[in-house]
Amino acid sequence: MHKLTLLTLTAALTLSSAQAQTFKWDAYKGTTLRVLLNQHPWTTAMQEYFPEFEKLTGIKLATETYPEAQFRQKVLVELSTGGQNLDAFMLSPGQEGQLYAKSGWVEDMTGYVNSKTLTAGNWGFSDFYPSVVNSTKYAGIMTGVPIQTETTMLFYRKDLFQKYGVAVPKTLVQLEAAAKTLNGKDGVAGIALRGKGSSATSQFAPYMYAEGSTWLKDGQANFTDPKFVKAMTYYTGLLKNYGPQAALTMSWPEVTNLFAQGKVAMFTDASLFRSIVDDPKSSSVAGKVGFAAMPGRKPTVTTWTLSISKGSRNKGAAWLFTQWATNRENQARVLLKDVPAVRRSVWNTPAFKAQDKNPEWTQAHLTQLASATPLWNPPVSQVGEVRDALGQAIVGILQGGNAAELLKKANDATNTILSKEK
Amino acid sequence: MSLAPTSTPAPRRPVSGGFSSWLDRNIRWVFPAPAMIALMVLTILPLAFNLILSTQERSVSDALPSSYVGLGNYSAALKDERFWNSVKLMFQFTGIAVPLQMLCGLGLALLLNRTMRASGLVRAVVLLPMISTPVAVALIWALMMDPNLGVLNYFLESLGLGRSLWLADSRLVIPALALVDLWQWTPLVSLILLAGLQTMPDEPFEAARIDGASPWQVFRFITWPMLQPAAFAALTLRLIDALKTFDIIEVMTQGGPGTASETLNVYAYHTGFEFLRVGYTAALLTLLLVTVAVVAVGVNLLRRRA
Repeated sequence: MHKLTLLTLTAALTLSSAQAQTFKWDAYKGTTLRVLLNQHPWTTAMQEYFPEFEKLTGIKLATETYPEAQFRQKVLVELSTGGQNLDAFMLSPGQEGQLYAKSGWVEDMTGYVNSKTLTAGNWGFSDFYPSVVNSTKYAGIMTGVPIQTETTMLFYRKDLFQKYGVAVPKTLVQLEAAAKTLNGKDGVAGIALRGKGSSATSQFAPYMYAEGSTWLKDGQANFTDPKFVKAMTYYTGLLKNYGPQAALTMSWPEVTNLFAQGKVAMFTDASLFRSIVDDPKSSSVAGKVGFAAMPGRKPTVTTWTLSISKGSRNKGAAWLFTQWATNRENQARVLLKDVPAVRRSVWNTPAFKAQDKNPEWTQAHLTQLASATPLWNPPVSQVGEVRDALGQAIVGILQGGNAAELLKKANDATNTILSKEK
Repeated sequence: MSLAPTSTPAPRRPVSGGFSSWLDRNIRWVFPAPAMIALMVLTILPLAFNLILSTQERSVSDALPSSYVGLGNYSAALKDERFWNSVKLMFQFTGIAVPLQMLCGLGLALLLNRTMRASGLVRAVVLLPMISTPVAVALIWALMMDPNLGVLNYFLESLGLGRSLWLADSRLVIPALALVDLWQWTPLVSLILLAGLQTMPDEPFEAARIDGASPWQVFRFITWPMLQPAAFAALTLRLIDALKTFDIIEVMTQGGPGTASETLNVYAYHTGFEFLRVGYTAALLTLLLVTVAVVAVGVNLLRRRA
């Protein structure tokens, strides 16, 4: 099986090198590609252009779109059973990259993106933000080609900050001071953050990095590191002292909803949520929202990619789709629909500059993109189980438990999980 | 080639006599065969596969080790705090939801059994919760129970009562979930009991009235004994379903806060789809199946004695 796919690939390589001058978009005419997509703003923005790809290449796209939880399950089940019927799919490498790469389920994209023969002349891989490209690399392979990216940032209520003379916080100390000042003013909570078990772990990451700690150290869990404990105590302290009620049930839908209803002064989460909190259709505070770089200045970057199933029988065609979907024209298109694009050039186009309603957001997102770390999850195969162990500790601390004890328990649980990984 | 009959006398049976007589002899196997094959493919094989899986330590990915562990997964479960917590919660949830459903369902059935104006309409309205999609029901209840924005806290405050944390409170989360289950499944109980009530003969009631029995006596000595078969049927159905409840809990709390509402079925889902521990999950589900079966059989034994 592997030998066969390698053979066909080599054949494709030699074939297209013969035609290096004019890129053959119709090399896989008549192929039907099965593509699994997450119900995500990128998908909504791109879908209407898919017929253009079909016309250009003669390849038929059979796409299926599912809400995120079902989507992740579907991809997992298909890949773990060989992935022969799956060609291309969306992947969030920070979540599944390590597992998929180690399991040998995804094609290494390095050979594709750097190939002169496999890419159309003007495709331009160097145009992608390097930090975003790095966020796709796990276990030594590039798990996909980025299509959109998010950084963690601070969302705040400009009107409240002005009214109470609060400056936009740059450090964690300033962040806590701001939360303290604004808590209870005009009926708002000082700050909202995710407190719901495993979903909170990824948004805790920037706080952990700001305190100078990491998920793992020497391949072992690092949750008992004094800096880690300090960061966790700070994070949960913000919620306990200045947070909304029931913070321990809150993931991003609850946090953004609370902010959109005008019940909280600020929150930190993925930059993508501008589309919820600054849209008059979904938010009562639209127009009053300020955006700033992550306090503590250690943001994380989350990427979605298009990836190719290792078991796919149509890798060449799947690559054509991936290449087309991530070219300059399509990245410019999605950016105009508020999806944070991954190519530098499209942020500078006149079309985008003319319609950019939030230069402040753009500034905050782009300036921190270069320094953002991709490890918003611990780099392990059993991400779900490790996140759960740490998430249990977060909930326990929010319920009044002892941080050091609960983190020690999560640390032990994580080391047990890690000891089983090859 | 002529169509005229041949000179040999026509056989008693048609040419396909071999097959036909085989059919005749084996008809008792042939008729149930489609159903048996479906049962094999859809129930027995997966169950057998699940049992085999439960003896292995296995992940969905080859990057994680897999090996035969015999009953290791079962003994691990018995030592797993989280497993026992989930069993306790499963029975707590069932213990709150099902008795209340039986009581409310009985009351509702007695009420609906009376002839009243627009009784068809009333019955249809009462049945609405049961025919709604559980996921949609759960989402709406979760919104109503939201501690910051929900309508239930608004009502509580209007009544001069304090706000409640609802699903965010570890002690309240199971009763709150049971409330949703109560709302959704009481109609089913009342429907079964109503059917039981409506098939009752009139004579015993007439006799009791003539003898001057009070309404309570009528209920206690006539209605209830005759209603028992229907009541046990409803109880068995609800017990089985309540023990296995998944959709309401997974949508509303995902087992949280922490593991405060993680019943066995929800825990098994997490070990399977989030922790990718397929073998352990298979063992958990086998234990769930055994528990549910024991409860169902137990209820039936009770019924025979009653």
